Amino acid sequence: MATIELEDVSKTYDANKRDSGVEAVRNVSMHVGSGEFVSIVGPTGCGKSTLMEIVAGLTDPTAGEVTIAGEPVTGPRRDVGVVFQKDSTFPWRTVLENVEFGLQMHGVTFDERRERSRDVIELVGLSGFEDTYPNELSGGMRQRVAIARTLVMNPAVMLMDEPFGALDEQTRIMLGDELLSIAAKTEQTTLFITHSINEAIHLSDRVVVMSARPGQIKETVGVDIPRPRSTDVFGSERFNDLSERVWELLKPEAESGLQR
Amino acid sequence: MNTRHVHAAQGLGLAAFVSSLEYLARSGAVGRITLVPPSEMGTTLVNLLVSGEITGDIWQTFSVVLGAFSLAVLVGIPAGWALWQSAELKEILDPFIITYYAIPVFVFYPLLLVVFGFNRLPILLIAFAMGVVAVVINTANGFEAVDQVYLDVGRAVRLSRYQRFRHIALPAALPYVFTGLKLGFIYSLIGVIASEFILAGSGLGYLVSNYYTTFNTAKMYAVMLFVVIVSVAINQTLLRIEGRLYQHRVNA
Repeated sequence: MATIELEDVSKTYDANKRDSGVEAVRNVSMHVGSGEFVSIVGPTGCGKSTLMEIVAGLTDPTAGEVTIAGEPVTGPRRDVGVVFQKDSTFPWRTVLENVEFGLQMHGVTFDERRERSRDVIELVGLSGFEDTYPNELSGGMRQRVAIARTLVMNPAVMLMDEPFGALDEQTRIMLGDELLSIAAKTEQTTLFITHSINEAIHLSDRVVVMSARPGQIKETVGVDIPRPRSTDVFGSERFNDLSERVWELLKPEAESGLQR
Repeated sequence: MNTRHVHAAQGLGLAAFVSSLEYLARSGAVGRITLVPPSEMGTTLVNLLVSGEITGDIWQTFSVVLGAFSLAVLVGIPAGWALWQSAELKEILDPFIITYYAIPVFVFYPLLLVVFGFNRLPILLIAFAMGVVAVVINTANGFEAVDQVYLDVGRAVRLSRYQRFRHIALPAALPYVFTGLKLGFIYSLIGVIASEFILAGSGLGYLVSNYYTTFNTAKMYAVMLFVVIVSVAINQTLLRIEGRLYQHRVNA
């Protein structure tokens, strides 16, 4: 049961030469159930990426605690996979070599890691591109490689930090749709960070709305659109209602974010 | 222009240059003490190589280049890595590194000769001094340019520090590091030949200087031709390897 539990998590970055210390996140408590898909939306600079780094064990919180599957997070975990916003595919490795990277580093035998990697490459729709280098792929395809590289490790928890943020709108919607079917197959718990309201509603069971810095949880909106969902949900009445509801919550935060 | 036209133009230009030299020398427009026909440079070089007259000097020059270059790599790569690891070290050393190539290291050659004597060591040290900083700077720049997200991927899949260095930072920085090696080698070669030219008892640089002072113009040009051919060949090889390293880079 891979649940994610955040208890009063706060993070203040130390003062350095440039900054006088920034309070990124304040007293965030939330729960993500096993197999649940939860999105966090918030204005730019609200600390949502910081929050994900803390859950991933890449950054320590200043106060509070994160628990995954009942164990406190003290660093990166085997059962947690992370997908970053920036293109993180290794240009010196082919698609297949990128995907098998983690398995290779952890000493999985050649035959086994090749087989598992090929399966995942098929799952993300990149069959036929195994021996291609990332620079020959589009941004959307490179992000699929990054997702496959994380999926191949069989994580119970997927943490995704605006994974489609750098892509154009159409590609983004199509990849979101694929992610939905992948998540349905793998039954993993997903924490998804985005600044797109539509994307959050399309994909999630619940949408957590954060305030401007220091990031706090403003409200959680349940998405009661039945699954399996497709891109058909866009424009449906329920979708528009929810979208409006999230925007109402987000608007004052986005405005105060602009005034900084 | 397509590549074939460019290559054709380059070949034609070179051929025109060589033929005009040939004409100038053969017509007597330029005296034999100053210039010999390029064809004679070539035949003289072949004779020098076949007779074994310059074999010892070739060996001498390239063994010192290789020694200086190896030393530059052994010192330069760890130093470049250290600069990347320690912001303090980088801050302290930065002004020295920036000033370094403004100093003509050859001015220290007489001093080195006094200290270490008339042998290969001063030459090796000059060549090392010329080569090492190119390796240090490019290695440090290469590591500096490694995208943080690559290293985060390594942390997220729980790699050790060594694994992150060996399997992420190093391959990511490799094209830059190799550029440093390329420059380091070329600078070392320049350092050795120039030092030999100034003051030495053997080596290709010494030969050029010696044939020059003894009015042995044909042999002087033959050795110069040899140095040019070898340098260009080495540089082409290094460029080819470098191109292969860069070929899959997204922004290359």
